Amino acid sequence: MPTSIRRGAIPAPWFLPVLLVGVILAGGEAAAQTADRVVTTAGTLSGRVTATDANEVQFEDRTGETKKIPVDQIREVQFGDEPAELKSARSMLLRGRAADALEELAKIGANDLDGAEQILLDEVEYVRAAATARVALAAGGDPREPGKLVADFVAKHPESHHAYDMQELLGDLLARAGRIDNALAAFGQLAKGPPAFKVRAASAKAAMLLDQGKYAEALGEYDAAVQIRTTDEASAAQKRAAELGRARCLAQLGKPDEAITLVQSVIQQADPEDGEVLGRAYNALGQAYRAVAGKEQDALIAFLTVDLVYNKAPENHAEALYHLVELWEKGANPERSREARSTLETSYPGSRWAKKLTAAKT
Amino acid sequence: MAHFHGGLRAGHGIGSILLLGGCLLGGCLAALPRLVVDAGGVLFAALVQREGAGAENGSTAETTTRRLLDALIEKRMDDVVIQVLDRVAADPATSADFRRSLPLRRATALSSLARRESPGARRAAMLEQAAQEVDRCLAAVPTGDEAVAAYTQKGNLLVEQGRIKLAQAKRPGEDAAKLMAEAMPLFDGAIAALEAPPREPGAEPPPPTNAEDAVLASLREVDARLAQLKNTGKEKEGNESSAGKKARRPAKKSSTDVKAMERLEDRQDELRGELLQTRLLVGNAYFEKSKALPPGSAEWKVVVRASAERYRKLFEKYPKWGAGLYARYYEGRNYLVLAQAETVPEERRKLLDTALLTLAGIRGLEGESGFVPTLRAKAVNASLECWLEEKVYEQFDDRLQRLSLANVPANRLDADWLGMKVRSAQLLAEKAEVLPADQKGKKPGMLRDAKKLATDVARHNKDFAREARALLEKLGRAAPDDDDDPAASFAAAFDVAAGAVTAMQEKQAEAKGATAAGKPDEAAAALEAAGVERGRALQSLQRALMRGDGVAADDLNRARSLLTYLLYDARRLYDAAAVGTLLAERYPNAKGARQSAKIAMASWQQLGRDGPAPWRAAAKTRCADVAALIMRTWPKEPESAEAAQIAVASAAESHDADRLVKIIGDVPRDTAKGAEVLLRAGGALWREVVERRRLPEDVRPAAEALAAWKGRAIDSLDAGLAAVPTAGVSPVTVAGGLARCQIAMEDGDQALAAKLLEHPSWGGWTVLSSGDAVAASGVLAENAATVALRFFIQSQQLDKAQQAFDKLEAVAGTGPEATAKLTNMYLAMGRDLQGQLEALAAAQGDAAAAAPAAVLGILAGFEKFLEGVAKRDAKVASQIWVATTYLSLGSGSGSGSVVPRAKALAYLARAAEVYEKLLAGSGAATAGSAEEIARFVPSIRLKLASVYRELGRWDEALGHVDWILSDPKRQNSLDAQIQAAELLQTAGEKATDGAAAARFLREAIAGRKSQGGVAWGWGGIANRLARQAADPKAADARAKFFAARLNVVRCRLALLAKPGQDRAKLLQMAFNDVSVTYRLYPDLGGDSFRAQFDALLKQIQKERGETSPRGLAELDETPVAAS
Repeated sequence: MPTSIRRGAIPAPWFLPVLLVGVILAGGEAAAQTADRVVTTAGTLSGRVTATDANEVQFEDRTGETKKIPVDQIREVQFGDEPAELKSARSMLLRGRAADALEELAKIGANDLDGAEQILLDEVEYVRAAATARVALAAGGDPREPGKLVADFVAKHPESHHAYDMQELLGDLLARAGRIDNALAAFGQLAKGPPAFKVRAASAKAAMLLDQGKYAEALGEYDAAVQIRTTDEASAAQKRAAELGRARCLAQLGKPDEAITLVQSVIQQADPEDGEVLGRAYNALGQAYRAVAGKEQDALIAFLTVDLVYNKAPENHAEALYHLVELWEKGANPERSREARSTLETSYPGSRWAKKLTAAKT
Repeated sequence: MAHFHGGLRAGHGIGSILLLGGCLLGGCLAALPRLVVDAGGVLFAALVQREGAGAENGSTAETTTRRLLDALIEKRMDDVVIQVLDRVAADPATSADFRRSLPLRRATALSSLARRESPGARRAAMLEQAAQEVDRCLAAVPTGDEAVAAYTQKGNLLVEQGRIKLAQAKRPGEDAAKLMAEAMPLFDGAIAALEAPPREPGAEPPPPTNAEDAVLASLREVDARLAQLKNTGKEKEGNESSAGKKARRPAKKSSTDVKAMERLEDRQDELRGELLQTRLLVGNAYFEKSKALPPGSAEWKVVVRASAERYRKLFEKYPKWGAGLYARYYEGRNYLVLAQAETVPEERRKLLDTALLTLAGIRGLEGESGFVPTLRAKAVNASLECWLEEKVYEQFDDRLQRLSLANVPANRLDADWLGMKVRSAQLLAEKAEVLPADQKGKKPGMLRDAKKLATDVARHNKDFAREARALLEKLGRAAPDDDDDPAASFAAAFDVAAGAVTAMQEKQAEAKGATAAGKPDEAAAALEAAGVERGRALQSLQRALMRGDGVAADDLNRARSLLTYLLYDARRLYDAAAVGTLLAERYPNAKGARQSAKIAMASWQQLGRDGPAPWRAAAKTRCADVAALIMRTWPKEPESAEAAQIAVASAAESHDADRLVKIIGDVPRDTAKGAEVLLRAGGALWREVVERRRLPEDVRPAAEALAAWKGRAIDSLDAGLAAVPTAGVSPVTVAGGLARCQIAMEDGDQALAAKLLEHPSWGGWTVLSSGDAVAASGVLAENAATVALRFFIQSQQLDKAQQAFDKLEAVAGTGPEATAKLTNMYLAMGRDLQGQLEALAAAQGDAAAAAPAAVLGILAGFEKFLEGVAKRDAKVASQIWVATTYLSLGSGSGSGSVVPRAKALAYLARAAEVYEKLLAGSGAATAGSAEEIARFVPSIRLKLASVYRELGRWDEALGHVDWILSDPKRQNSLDAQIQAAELLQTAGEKATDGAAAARFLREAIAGRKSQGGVAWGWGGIANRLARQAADPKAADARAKFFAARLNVVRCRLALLAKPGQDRAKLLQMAFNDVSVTYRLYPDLGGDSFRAQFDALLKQIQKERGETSPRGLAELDETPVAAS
């Protein structure tokens, strides 16, 4: 049962002009209660978040009707009265700019949250923990401190609509720390969620194994993720991601041709505007081509596609740049290689790809 | 006065403008589509871009690819664009719509790539390929934007191709008339692709076959739709009369209709812009065509006037548009050009007046934004030509003078700006001289401005720099050097350098001409002057590079490339190599990088060959490095094959088989010269295999490695032979075929060997038998004859073998050295034969089972042929060959397992018999000359010693060695002494008579004296080499020293087994031999020798009764023992 977190309601539209006039008359000092927004896979809803739990968000729309939105359909929840910096920080976090999110969060003044509702304080805690964790994961930094932050959040806020996301993050951090059993337990919690999270749980385990170089085992987990019986769109999206993981495993297991076919099928099914998935897909395609002798040029084109077309997700872009540095160098094009290196080092200095490149150089 | 129009530097071509469109007057800013024309005159319209926006209706992959292509074009990665297009074309899933766009996309990318290419064959080929792609596009009868883009591209490409022909025609030694005639149809084709043919008013336009009609068709369609929406009647063709004006929309339209009308109106503007562009291009195409005609001729006048007429019409229709104003300038420019070629003074003056009148409006343009300053400068420049011609100075008023004097950023100073400045200076200088008395006071100011203008032009050292300097001299001051100018920049210094290079090249051409004319003094003077200019250019470039902070990499690299060339020209090879290598390594995509790499390679090559001796080895290595870099960086370019040839030569010289393997892997097989490189590399690798197989076992590469190299050699030779051009046979091909034939013979593949040897065009035997005198001499002929002889003998084609034998003799010639040469060839053949037999002996698997039969076949062939020669051919060389071959067949150490022992002994006996017969012949003249035999006696005796050694007839063997060493001249021959010591040692080890054996062994150690001959023995040999033993550079002497010391120990140990020896003493002496060597030369000659010393010491220790012999370790633990 979702925990009730807020009181009051958003005024119906016809009240708005009156309220606005009131605000203006009061010289802007009175805080107007603005609507919360829930961005879902189907569109954006305005109204008031009244309660949340790990599986759903309860929402009261402008007509007073209460709706329950499953978390796997939610892209973002924005609170009407949250500080602008918090909104920006969360948006940056969701777009893969975790370091920027932390900087943005730091701009929230000490008084900005005076008297704020608990859910906003929780939201700050969420963004801080998640961004810290993402920075550490991306940069290959020490996972202990962020792990503590995330574990605290998970323990303190089991009813948060971020609970599953944070479980996954916790699993990733534990895996990075080498605490595999704990990581598996965290992913196990994730699997208790809606179908899409079950797929994510299996994929997260697989990704952990892939990172450890256990390609055959990772492939098994990805297979399991793909085979989970689901019908919803959120799960289908997760499965597409799992297919890309499968492709990476196949490429590493000496089956690059299968990997290429698989990635191409994911690309065909993807929305051309879904830059993040396509970025991952073209990176996976590039990696598969790199495993085939004489296909360096195809690999290069795949990574260039990420670099020049689907470059919004930092992790994807950094990975593509890393490969481009190598491929341009091999392709006797040191100038382009230097350019890719410079972009990687300038735009993503803390990323694991930049570090990998530095390590390779030394 | 000099006329600058129409020449190379003429800045009036459409190629020098950048039009961003716009209506100049009345605030009308209808957008022209982007039309970008580069400084070299190649026009590339961004015509395919519009397609991208609305065409994303394919699959996700296709949408992605379209986006990628757009991004790649934006990033100027046209090479990758081509690769992406190749993949799209090969993908069966590509939609028909996307597929249709490929040729045009490819043409655009190729054109763009060509633009970055230096003028030359490669650029021309790219343009040709682009033209073919456009034709493919047009063959599919495109419509709408695609048709406009395709026809425009076609027209531009043809103009560019025509320009290339004209540029070629200007080069010395070219057939200018022919090239100009070839350019004509290109320009005509361009005009046909761009311009709509004349039609009757109201005639129904046919489907578009040119850019103008294609634009008009689209415009008509838009007009019709707009008219429909507006509910008005259809307007006339293209609605051109309403150009620049937007009709008022009828009131009360639905919002959808309003939006649709707005879109259509925008489209209308866009198409009008395209129409203007096309018509400008038409005018330009006519003007370019005029350059292919004799200036002043009737045809030429017609074409220039046709160009002017088109510009006039354009201006009249669009007088307020930027394109219209440009057209007006071009019209005026054309009148000026016509005037300059006109010989009738009155007509000439009329044309000049017309030009001035036409240009007046443009000269009067006000404002400093957009294209106005550039266009105005063009018009003023052209007008100045007219005024100077007519000596009319008054129209050059204060306003124009101020415009000329204005500072212009260096990057904008093109030929028009510089022309305006220098002509303004000339005009001011002339005007100052003819000022009326009441205005004399203005003279100093005028001259000061003239100087300032001339200095400005001279300082930039680009167009008109020479004229500016001449004017400055006339005005009383030499042109300033760029150092005088504190504001001198990279660009200024570079410009000075470029000017100096031009001057240098002119002087070099002068020197060439003077030399050809037999005027050595003039040639020397011109060369000296060229050297001065080169020095100036070098200094300026170095200054430019020092000012390179913040300068674009392209510009810096241009300077580096020029510097490389100049350094090479100055024979500063090391510097040229260093700068060229830097450019090639760090900026391989820079313009000139490939050329610089080639210069660097040539420089290292020359340093490796003729440089200071201590540098040569390093220079050769660097040469190979640069060659590898070129192969890696430009694998498909002709330079790569040249580099590969150098790399092959370098690797072969340094016996680097692994590098040869790498080259074979890297060499582009689909290039013209790739085949030659493969043949060279394959042949060199095969030679390495053959030579390394002959090395002693401890330094010989593993059999697997040799087999792998052989496999790569086969692969390389086969690929090379398969790719050789059908016409023309090169020596490399013949040599490659012979190498492959040798491998086939070794593999027992007689059929393949025969096919290779008698290949109709490049077979070694075919070429040798062709009757061609060139092919019948030289190393290649020797090789062909020996390979053919060996093959025909072993395949028992004895008639052909005899022919080959005769050829071999013929190749050796008839001079006094012929016999020696022949003997060497026989020896080489014998070695090959022995190698073949040894390879058969080493065969494994199925090949091993077949080896004995193959060997017997070979032997049978040789026996038959050798006996035939022995009987019928008494020539000394022939008899030596017979004996030498028998010796080879009988004594091959590795072939023992395949040549039956009895047969081997018989061959050796037969060899001895023939040699002895020859020796006997030295005393009495037989068929061979006694004198000739006498010259070979020492080598015959040496051979006999070998034969008797193989046969175990020690005394006879020693007899011959003693005879050789009795000659004081040969006593100091180390090889002879080593052979004598080996013989004594072998005799000692193998002789069955114990006493004799012991004597032989002692003599092997301490030497032997008999019949006046002195053999040093191993001890003596070691003593004579001891000084070189510690010198790491004397590798050969060191190896011989340590081998001699080892053999001393071996002989002592062998003595142990002989009767009557003092065992303890011998063992102590052997121990001392090792320990003393170790004490004096602790490295013991390297790992291989060290291991042998260790093994021998262990044997000594064992013989002494030690249960756990420790070898050299004992000497390490007890230094005293060692000492």
